[in-house]
Amino acid sequence: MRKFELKNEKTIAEATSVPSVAKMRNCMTLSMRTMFLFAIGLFLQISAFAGKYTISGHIKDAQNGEELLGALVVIKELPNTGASTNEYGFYSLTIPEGTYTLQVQSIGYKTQSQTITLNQNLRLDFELAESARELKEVIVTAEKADKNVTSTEMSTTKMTIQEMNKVPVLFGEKDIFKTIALTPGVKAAGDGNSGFYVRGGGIDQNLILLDEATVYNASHLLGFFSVFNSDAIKDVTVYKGGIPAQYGGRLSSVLDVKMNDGNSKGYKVSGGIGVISSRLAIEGPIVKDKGSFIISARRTYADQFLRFSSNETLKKASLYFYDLNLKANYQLSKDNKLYLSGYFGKDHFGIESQFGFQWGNATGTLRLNHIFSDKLFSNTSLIYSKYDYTINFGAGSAATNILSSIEDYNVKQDFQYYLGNYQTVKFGINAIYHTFIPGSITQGGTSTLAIMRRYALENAAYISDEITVSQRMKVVAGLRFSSFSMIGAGHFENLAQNGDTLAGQGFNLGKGQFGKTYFGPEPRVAATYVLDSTSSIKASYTRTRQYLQLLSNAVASNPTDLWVPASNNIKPQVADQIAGGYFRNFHNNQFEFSAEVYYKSLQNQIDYKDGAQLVFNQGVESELRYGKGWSYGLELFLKKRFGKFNGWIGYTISKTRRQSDYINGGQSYNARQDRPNDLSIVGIYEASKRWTISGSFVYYTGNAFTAPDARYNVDGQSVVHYSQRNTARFPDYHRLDLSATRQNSKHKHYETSWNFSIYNVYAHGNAYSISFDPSDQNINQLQATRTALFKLIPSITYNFKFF
Amino acid sequence: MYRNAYKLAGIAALLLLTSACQKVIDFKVANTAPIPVIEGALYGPDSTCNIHISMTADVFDSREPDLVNNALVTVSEAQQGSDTFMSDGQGNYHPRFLHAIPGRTYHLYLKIQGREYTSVSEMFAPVNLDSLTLAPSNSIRGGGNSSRRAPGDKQYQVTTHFNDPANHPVYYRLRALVIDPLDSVKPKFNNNELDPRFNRGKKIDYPLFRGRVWTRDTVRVELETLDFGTYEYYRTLRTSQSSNSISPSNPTSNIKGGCLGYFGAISVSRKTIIIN
Repeated sequence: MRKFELKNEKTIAEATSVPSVAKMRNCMTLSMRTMFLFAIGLFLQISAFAGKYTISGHIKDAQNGEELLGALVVIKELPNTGASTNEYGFYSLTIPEGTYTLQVQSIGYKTQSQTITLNQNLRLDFELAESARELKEVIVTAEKADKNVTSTEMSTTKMTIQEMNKVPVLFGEKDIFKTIALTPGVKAAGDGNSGFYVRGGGIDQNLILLDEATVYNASHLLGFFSVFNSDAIKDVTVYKGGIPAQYGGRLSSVLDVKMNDGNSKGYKVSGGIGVISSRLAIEGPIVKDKGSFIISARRTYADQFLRFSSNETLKKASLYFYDLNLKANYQLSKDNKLYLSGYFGKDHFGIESQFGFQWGNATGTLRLNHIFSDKLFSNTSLIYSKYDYTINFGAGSAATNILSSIEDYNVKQDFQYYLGNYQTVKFGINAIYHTFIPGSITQGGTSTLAIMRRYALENAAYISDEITVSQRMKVVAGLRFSSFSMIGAGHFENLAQNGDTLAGQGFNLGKGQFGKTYFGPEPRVAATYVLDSTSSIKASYTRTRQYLQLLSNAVASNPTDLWVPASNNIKPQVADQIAGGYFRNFHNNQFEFSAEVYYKSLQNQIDYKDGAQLVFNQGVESELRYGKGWSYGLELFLKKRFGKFNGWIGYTISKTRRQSDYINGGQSYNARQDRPNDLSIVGIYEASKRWTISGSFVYYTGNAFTAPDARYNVDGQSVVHYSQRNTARFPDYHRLDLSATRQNSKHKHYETSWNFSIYNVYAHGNAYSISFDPSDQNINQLQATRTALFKLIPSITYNFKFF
Repeated sequence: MYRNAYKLAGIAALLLLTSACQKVIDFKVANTAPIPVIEGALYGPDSTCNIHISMTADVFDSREPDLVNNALVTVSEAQQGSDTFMSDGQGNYHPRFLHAIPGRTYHLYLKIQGREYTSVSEMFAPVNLDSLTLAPSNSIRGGGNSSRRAPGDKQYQVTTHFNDPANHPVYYRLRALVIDPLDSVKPKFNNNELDPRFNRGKKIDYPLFRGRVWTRDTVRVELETLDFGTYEYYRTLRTSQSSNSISPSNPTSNIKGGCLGYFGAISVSRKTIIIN
């Protein structure tokens, strides 16, 4: 048994100090330096334009000072000339000397015009006032009306928090994941699982960023909620394909979540009281118009219901989570702005003092925006991120504590260089130092057992350029180069190709000593060709590399799932994706339609050997098998963007397969996340000024799994015989949710609303798991037992805002 | 034990929310054609030999699986020769003269409905179970039937002690049984397969029943010394049967020819402890 083999092994890895930034930079590979120099060279070459001047600055919301992302500055006299703000609300536009009328627009805001005489570089900041409430209510994004058609972005979904607020959700708790999963190509992993699958990728192939910090386990309460408190979130973008070069580290998608900056104009308190959770947010200026802060907190109290249980153990149980989001920003000078953001969340499950289980994430991001010149914008970030869990039980000398964690220190430097009209070059570098503690156990205060720690350094450099080839055609070309090195101290085994441990062939690395290094380029290209003012075709190619993987012991996500790094045995995963699409808007951009096809090829995919043992296993790498995968599909999306009735329909038809020489006798098989049909319908109806009613319906093919195909007896006990891998399917999943929000009368200093929602209206028992066990009456009679998590859950939430 | 803690962590929390929503459903499965299931064990040094043959049944078939009584079952060993086992009509086959003797290698040859199956297993000298020791333990998992206990009764764990012989590639299975005089209907079983590859030639102390044995219980432990094929079958049989496993599968058989089950030549040593 592994657990007893380990008893005699000493943990080699001791706590190591965090490497300094300088050390990380020293560790950058030669190729990355070369790329960086190349980028600087490019910047120097293209820095001068005769007779042209640059207008630059920030665009903000006049009411709360929040920076507006994707707002537009256009020149009335120069059609097809303009710029949009970046993710920090900054824009830069270079045009010839002259007198112009500038128009600053953002949907949901009144357009501002200003006449300027341009004979020198100008810094112009704008504050846009919101347009009439009715308009704001119906137009849900801050994007340009026809952006869907004209931008080079494809396979991308953007959502603002206002938009998410209208979609009904479980327990009335707004949830980014569950809402994003209602769009085509993104598939919810199922009830009780806040993970999602993107275009046939696994849950761990999604990069989840909260203000640039990686979130390693984005679920609360064993997957029933995501860690993102909607009060703290500004907007969310999902890249399913055509992933921009500044993102890397995961194969399938990027979920980029940005936190609110806080109101820089005045103080505001908002919150909600719900059946199982409550939340509160406070925001306001640090110094008016110079800096602001926001603190938001959330706490669930689901376990209070356990007191009514007839089960004695359940009565003693506690089960809750809380989380805290903090963000502050301060304008240090005209050219420098500092941001500090952090997240801290913890789940707790316990049975009196006998047993405790806590898990949670902590992230912190310190950022400096610096404007080098009117054309060169820089962002420097220092990022911390950690996920850990602890389990404790027993008392006195038998008190046992299990700890596991993953911790990152991350340095990131990004530049944006505005070459001219609509052309922007982005480049940067990034280094992450990872520490993995797979599991360590202390008993009575002394360490009794530990799986060896692992250390690694992940580096990347990138450059991308958006080029307007002609009035009709735009191209974004990018190259990312990434590397990953294992670092000591530690002992490493060499495994045979079939996963068997090769006895006596292991090796040791000293503290700080580099082991195997992997590196490779990740080219990214996306192009848009505008057919006419309402339609376009787009295509993209993306290569991504991934050096970390999540080993999951059960069918659903679990707090004890384990992140493991690439190593001498585990090769980095590589994906190549090509996608093409047709985009069409109708009725003055009121309707958006898109049809996208994709093909994705995946290398070095990890699956588990038959009967794999992942928990507390020093030799966990020997439980893994490697192979390839492929996925293809068609995604259709029709959205009505505004009007009294709005919403969308998304449908995906797709296939995802895996093949490994060491699984299923070498024959290819369905990936667990293979889901041929996936439909979602969302409708939002503004019934009156007070009432908004919304509903969503989802239907998809049940997940693939391995089911029994015979039974037999061993030693008089009934045992099942399993079929080939993932040949059976759960019953199809479908569910209807409804929600109604009543806006109460507005007062000068406060406003309130009620939200009523019903999850799973017709109480369909969707399978969370299916088990095959002997019946109570006859041990020879096996029966299939379906476990369903949520049947018809009504909820009511009271929301308030003070200002 | 640590794995139990993990299970408790995961499953108990889920049960809190899910216990109300379980339902037996009509689930269509693709049944496979019947496959022979062979359970062949030659125990030494007291030489108890039995080979049991049955067939797999459809998943939802509630009848006892069919027994195979017309197979040709031959076991051979270099010094004793080849012995054709006799059927008892209940799916069992017994030797006519063959004995299970430590240090010998046994070959199995089977013919069932015209198809042939073969296996080989080496019987090692039994590794002596030196002692069983008791230590107080108050694991929360032991409290299940505490209401039956008299005041002052204590919880214990039992630790087995034995020495791995450095010179043989042996593996182990510990089979333990707790007889509770107050609850004799439901004895507690515990089977553990042990892989000593990283502890060759060392003393092995393996804890059992943490906190699950009490004053007045009787604990019987058998230490089975196995070859790798038999060990791997037992291990994979146990790990493969969890329906929550990420990769449920069938146990690894050491019999060639396309069947289920195992053929093992196993030597056993035993110890019993009564807790006062």
